[in-house]
Amino acid sequence: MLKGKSRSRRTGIAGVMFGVMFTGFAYGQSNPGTITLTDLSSFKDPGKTWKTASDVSADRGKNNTLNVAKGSGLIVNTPDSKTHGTDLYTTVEHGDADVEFDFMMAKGSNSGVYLQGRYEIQLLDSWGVLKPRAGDVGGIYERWDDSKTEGQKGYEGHAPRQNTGKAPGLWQHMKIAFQAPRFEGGGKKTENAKIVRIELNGVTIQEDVELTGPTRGAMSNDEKPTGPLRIQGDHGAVAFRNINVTTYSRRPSAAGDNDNTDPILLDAPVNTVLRSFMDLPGGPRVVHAVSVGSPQQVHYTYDMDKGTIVQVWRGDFLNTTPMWHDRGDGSSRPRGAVQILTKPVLTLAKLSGGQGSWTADTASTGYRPKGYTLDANDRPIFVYNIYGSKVTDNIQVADNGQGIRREISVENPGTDLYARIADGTSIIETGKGMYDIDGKSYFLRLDNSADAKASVRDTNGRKELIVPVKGKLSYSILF
Amino acid sequence: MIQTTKKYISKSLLGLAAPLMLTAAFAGFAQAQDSPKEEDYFKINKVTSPEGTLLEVGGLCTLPNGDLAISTRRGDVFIAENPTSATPYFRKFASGLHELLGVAYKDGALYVAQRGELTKLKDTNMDGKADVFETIYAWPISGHYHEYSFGPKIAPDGSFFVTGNVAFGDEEWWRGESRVPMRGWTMHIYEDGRMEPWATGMRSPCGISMIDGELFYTDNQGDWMGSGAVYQVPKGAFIAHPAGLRWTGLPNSPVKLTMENFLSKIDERKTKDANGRYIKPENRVNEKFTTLFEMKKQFPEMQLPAVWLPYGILGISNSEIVKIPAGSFGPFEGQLLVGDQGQSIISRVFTEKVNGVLQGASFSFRKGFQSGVLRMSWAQDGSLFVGETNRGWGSAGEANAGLQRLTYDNSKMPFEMKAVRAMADGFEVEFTSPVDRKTAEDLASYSVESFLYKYHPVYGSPPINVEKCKVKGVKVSDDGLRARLIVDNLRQYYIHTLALEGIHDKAKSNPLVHPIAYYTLNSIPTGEKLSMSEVSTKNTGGATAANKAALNAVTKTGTKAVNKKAPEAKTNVTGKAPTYDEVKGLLTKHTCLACHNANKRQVGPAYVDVSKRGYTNEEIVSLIYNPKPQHWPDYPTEMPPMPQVPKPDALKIAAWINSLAPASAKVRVKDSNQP
Repeated sequence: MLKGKSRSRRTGIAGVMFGVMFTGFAYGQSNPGTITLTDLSSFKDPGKTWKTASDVSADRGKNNTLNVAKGSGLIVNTPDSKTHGTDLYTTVEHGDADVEFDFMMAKGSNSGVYLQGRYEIQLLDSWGVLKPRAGDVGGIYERWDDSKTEGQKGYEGHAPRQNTGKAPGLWQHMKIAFQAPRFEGGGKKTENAKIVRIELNGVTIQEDVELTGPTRGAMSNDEKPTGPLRIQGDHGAVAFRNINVTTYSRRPSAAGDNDNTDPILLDAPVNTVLRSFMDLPGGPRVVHAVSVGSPQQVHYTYDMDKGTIVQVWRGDFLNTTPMWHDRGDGSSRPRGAVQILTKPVLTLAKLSGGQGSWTADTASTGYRPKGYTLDANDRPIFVYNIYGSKVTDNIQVADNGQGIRREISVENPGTDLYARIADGTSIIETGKGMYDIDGKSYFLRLDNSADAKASVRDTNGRKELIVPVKGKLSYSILF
Repeated sequence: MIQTTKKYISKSLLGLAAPLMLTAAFAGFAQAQDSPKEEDYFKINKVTSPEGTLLEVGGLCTLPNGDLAISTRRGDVFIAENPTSATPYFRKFASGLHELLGVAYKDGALYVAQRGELTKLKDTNMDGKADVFETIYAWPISGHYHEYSFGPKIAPDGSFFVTGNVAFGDEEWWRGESRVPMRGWTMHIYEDGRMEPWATGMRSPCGISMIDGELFYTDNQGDWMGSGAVYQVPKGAFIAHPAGLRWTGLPNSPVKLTMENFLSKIDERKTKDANGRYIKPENRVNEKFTTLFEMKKQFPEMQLPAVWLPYGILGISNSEIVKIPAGSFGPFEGQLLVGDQGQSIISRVFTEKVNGVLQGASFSFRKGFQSGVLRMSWAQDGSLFVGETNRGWGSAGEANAGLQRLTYDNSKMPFEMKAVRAMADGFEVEFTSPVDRKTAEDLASYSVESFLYKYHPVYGSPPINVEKCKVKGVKVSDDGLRARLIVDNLRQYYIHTLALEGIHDKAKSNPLVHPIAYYTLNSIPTGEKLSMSEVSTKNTGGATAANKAALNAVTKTGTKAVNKKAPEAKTNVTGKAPTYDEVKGLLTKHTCLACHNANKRQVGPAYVDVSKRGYTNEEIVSLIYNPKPQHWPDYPTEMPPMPQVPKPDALKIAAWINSLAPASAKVRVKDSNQP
């Protein structure tokens, strides 16, 4: 259920296993196998704005801008005012299919994936949108009828259930299960096309949506058993990688689920705190976990055993069914798109001269949780003792819901006290005090970078971002 | 004996029987229909709350101003203002806490045990809700679902007690285990965050209680726990469940008994089959077993139950103990009340100290709560708030949760055994109102037997070593309030069942509201014995009849229905399945109905669901003797083995169960795990 990091970790090997992959192509034909793309040859007339690249990054200050590193591994569209972009069409066609890919939006950018060239799943920079519509990322774009009066032309758009879209410049993941329209021998349509499911960043946001016909901007208004996969390129800068298409001659029907349990869901229309066990992917179960939800739809889980934020997520708050139904198992689960930040280890520890491995032993530090107080807006401010010092850990939603901002204050910090504020397969400083973590899974920004001398270090094949703590440390997680 | 049978004879037989009965007997019948019941004295009232307020009550605490603090499984703390009024106001004082199973008040703050810590809740900005959530002490926890934490209870010095459930094994899902320190323990915690281990041997110590400044608790029946019971918990005590012994080597452990020493004296039955899979220990009918008191000779730190709460009658999943304050609940002030979650009941306990040892009697008191009784707290008006939940375990009360209030009508006096006291040569029963001397001086009105439970790693225990105790004489006090019994065959440590089914009161000739007492005889007093010359030995029923009535009294529920003599199902000889009326007596007598209902799920599955499994009658009998809870994974409470049910009874019950199966369901379920 939780999104792992494995996709972003593929970056390093992307050059080998990358591109548009069609697997299991069917209709009784032989399986064409995997198509590996190192250029744009799988697409008809890619135009001038599409190219392959080894890396891209968004300019966070500028609309519609992706910076491109030459090479292969991904495809990127960079239209500008002079060169209007064009859409990409695969040379092969699909009917029933699972379409899965990573994508990155430029700031303010707009793209989309058209199944069979006709039915568009919207891709958009919808960062921070609280009430997503059909035109937001993960929406099924509206159909269009020019004969209707103004304001009535658009219809049958399907909004995603929640906005689990991430910041521009981060890699996001979408998985679409599509069922093509059915036709009888004479060509008459007997069954509408259907979006069986769409997952955005690990969260199901659409399910069982019937498509009565092509959406606005379709390549054609007719409907066919097969059509090309089409990627919109005429609206803005966007990048894709790891595109996988698995086709079926006929989609197997989903197995019936016999669970009759009414789910128990917890929303956060106001700042909301809930303690529960929290399972991290691959373990462990965090047993003194506090999850904090906000009306900005940015939430986090704090481990009171370690004084550490273990995960953040966007979208809906918690599914408490595992804890509150029947006997329960004491745990709850995030309902939105989760970003794991770290395994549960102390945020603060002493490192002699900034050297040595990060302590795994809480006891030797005198760590002692002291609970939290609620501020005037019911946000918890955590307190604990470590090395005899009192620590205040104040975590709030960052401006415009862009992530979370954390301020750690330590009374009498002493010498050699460090904070370990990021952990990942890669940590790259992209600007002063700005870090790209885990292959653009999230960004970290030091908010008092003038004082904080952060450094990235290697630990057992992974990277850690550590900062000496003199009294106050403030940084933001943007995602 | 004759009276009992006649009294409950069915109406259809009445026409036939009546001419043979004389007036007195007929009067007995009439009274039986009209004789007062517990609900005539103790009423269960609703406590209204706003729609949508889910009160899966884990903790109750009456505040100094009379408001009621309520902590819930959902992690909320409500304060009900003016809680005995028709419209209490519910203020949400705190939320977001982890499955609260207790709440206590001290010095202007509330304290709650979350799964993993003791937390102080304080409203410092005076907006009516907590803004300080201070961790007093956080304890380790592995994250197993069963690792509940209960409390706190506040000691006279302001320190806290919290208890922790054991987890269960992964492969050995039946075996309680202490994965991290202090599971299966009582912790003693100070305001400054110090924790000292206090006692261990707990399994599911939901019933943590503070009585007169001393720590008591009840546990749930399960592995090593033959039945529910009230225990006092002095520092350094070891109760029964060995899981927590794993940590007695910690430097600050007051319990010195080691797991090694324990296992060298008792077999925990950790054995594997040919495939290397652990075998679940089952009850062995013919075995040399041991009991708690026998093991106490080996392990002096063992703390025996002060008062047993017999399984299926008073003790399945016991919960909080409260002491009835002066001026409340009429004749019972100063006595103890104990909840039971599975049975949705409250039992009453009278205690006394004999030779310095705490012991006493337990009685049925009030049934019929809407959900499992977990917590109790006294309102300022002397009524009792009852906080309820069954949180997936099932309970006789069909609601999943509730908050109710028990009130006593002090214009009425229930005819009850107020107390039972041990005597050097028997017992003295004290009544709440004078007895009818004729019935009270008749030995046929009394029957006594004694029994105990096994101490073994099996889930629950059948009653064992059941023996009759002859009632040799009775002396009724001049005021009619006391009956002094000379009883043979008293056995130290055993539960003595006193069934006073023939006793009537003087005023209205009513039988006792609850005619059975269960006295735990930890110590037999020295002191004067009665001489046979001063007691009545009149026995209208004859010794045999009286003892026959006593037989199996342990498995009777103490409700009136139990007296109903199960009609001998003559129809059965024809091969026709017995009807419900024909087995109801057996189901009651063998405590089946404590957990099962014919058509509805309760603690255990409905009999109709059992019938759909397609077992043969013989298979059902073998499942009664050695249940296979793995067949019913949706039912968290295991059924204990019940080899005490005589085979003819078990067969009759089985035939009735199988008669419930809808025709379409009578297809044998093929499952290699099933017998």
